[in-house]
Amino acid sequence: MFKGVRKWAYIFIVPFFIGYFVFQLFPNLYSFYISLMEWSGIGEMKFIGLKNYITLFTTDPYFIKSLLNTAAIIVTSIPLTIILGLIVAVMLFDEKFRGRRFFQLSNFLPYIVTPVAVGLIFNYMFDWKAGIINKLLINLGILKDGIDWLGGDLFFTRFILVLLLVWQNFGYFMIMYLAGLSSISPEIYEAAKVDGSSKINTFFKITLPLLKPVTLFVVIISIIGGMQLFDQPYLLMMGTARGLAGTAGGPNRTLLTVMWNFYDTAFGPRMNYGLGAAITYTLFIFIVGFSYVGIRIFKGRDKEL
Amino acid sequence: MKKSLLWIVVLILSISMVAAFSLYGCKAEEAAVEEEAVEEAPTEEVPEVEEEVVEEETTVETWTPDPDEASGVVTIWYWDQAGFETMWNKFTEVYPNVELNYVALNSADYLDKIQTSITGGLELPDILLGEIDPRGKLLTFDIWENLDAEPYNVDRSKLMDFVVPLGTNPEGELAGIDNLMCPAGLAYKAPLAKEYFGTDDPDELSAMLPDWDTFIEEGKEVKEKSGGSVYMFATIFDAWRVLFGQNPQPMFDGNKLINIDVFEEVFTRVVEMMDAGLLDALATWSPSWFSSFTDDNHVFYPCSSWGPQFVIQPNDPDSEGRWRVMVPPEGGYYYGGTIWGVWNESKVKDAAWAYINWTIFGDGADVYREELGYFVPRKDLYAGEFDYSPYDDPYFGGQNVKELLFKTIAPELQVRPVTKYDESVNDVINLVLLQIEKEGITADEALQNFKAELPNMIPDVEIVE
Repeated sequence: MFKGVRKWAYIFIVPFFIGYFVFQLFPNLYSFYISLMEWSGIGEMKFIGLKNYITLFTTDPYFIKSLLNTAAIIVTSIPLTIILGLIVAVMLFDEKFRGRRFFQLSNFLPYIVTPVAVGLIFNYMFDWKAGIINKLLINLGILKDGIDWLGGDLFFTRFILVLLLVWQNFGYFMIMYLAGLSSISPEIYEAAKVDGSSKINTFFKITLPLLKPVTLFVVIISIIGGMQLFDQPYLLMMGTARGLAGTAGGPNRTLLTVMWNFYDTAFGPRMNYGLGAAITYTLFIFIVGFSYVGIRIFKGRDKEL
Repeated sequence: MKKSLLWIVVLILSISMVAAFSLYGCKAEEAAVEEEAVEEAPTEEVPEVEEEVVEEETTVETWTPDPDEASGVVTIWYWDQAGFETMWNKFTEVYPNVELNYVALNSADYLDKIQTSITGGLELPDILLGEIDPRGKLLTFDIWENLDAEPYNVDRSKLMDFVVPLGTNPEGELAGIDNLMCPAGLAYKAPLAKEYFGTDDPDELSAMLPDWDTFIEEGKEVKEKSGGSVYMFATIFDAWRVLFGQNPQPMFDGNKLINIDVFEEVFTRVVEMMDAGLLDALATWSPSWFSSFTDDNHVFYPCSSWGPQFVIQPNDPDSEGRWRVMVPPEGGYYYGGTIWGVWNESKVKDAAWAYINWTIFGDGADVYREELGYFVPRKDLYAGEFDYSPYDDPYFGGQNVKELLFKTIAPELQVRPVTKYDESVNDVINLVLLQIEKEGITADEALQNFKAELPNMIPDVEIVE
């Protein structure tokens, strides 16, 4: 009887494992295999050991640049998104707040818009000549000439991308925090109130620590998502980068992210599958590393508590 | 204690694995270099064979598949469905047994799709295409039928001379043929030309602007008269397109970048134009660039043979008589185009070739011209007194743009052969032009940046000074 049950359990989970082996494990292992090869995707592969990995950290200027760009974007956009998502969630959690359903929906909507569309919308909005933002600022008399937002200036270009990412993602964070807030027992707040705790004190001493699992979750998925950033910067820079054939990363490669660099290395003019695979594997190690550090930090603090 | 012992074992194993991979990689590399060195020697004999092949083939007729025998489903990945189907419908009147499997694809994705299909061992389209930028790379793939050889026997001498190097692979074989000649001139807005140069006549304007020095001097006057609101070009890329296109010298000899002085010369020109304020800073193919076709602030635009119908008229549809096309200062250039060839593993080679042959060497050439305004690159069609009069165009104030491009510019044209590095070079040029535009770097800095950046894109490049 028991054996029969176990047999059926195995049968039911077999499709998942077949899918996992065929579509995830095998491609992952095969990518690693390719990363040890010199291969353009066409013709014979040539085994070169770890040369691609060594190239990434020694002679390839784009990998380090893309890594630093990605890190800068993550470091600025994630805290802003978390803070904004948390503040809006706390505001909307208050039952006295009128129109909370409307604001919940309207703040969440950008998250379900496809990144491609978001990139294009921002591209049009911040176009130097035809963009609505510059036209608005000029018509209001704030600017005399439009700002070349996406023209390769490090501050402006990254600012626009961070703005895009925060706008797109904070609604999702808000929903996560709302779920977290609803799981905190009202009795704790009542007890704090009886003890004379101010609202700010309650927020920092009770709400924030109890939301730590949610924060851990959003930080980890943000790091993973941030490391894989591609669609938004790619589409955002389309207009400015397509002078002739397009420059990866836009003007001065200011928005060259790791994934964009991978795409350009493997499928762009360089057509170097081996190096491209090495980029993705290195990225994979970074993601695992950062996620592990993130979890350790939060778990460590939990133990202290 | 046990835990730390385990860690030490894992560490030692990891280090040995890393070292083994590295060492084995180096060995494999050395071995491969040696093999390459041995294999390299006999390749110098190749050109003689090519010459013999070409000489022999000139006496043989180009293959025209029998309409009763050619059959099957021909697959094509293409980006102009309406234009293609117009041609295909006429083609199937002659070849009724051939069917079409049309797959819509963005032209920018073509190389990627071909590349990933080859990698994945998937089928390629029976008719292969190659736009000008990725063409050099596509031609290095062993996927094309040799159109010089049996059974195709294409007579190169029947084609316009300038299209042959554009469809030839690194082995010297003709792999594809342009379906449309793309000589290019300068389109301009007639009212602006009249206002600032005193004439809107293309011949008079060409005579007024015979070289780029004069162009720049006249541009400065335009700038002054307009109070700085009128630019000669909408973007630095438009200026680059014309100037670089006018230099037909090959860019590469193997992996050696030769003719670096061409880059120096063109960087100097565009920086001169930029400094004189003749170039606005719109991005080519961006919404602001498209909308500039209707404004009164930009005078000149690059204009290839496909420009009037695919770029100018769609972006300025209500301005009949407002545009003209002229021969640029210092002559015409080649801009764009698509080669058509046959996949070497196709199961319907005869049907695929039947279409290409019909459009270029058969009656399809007339259909192309009448239905789509395409002029195929065949010498015999335009030899003697070809009648261009049906192509007077009211949109261009009655000017005969076809005559200007195909009769005046095309015979003088020389083109730069395509190479597998074209896209990489374009990427770096793009980067440097943006630095000129956004940061105001000098021509010398532009050249240095170009030379510094190119090896990042093409690691084995050797820049010959």
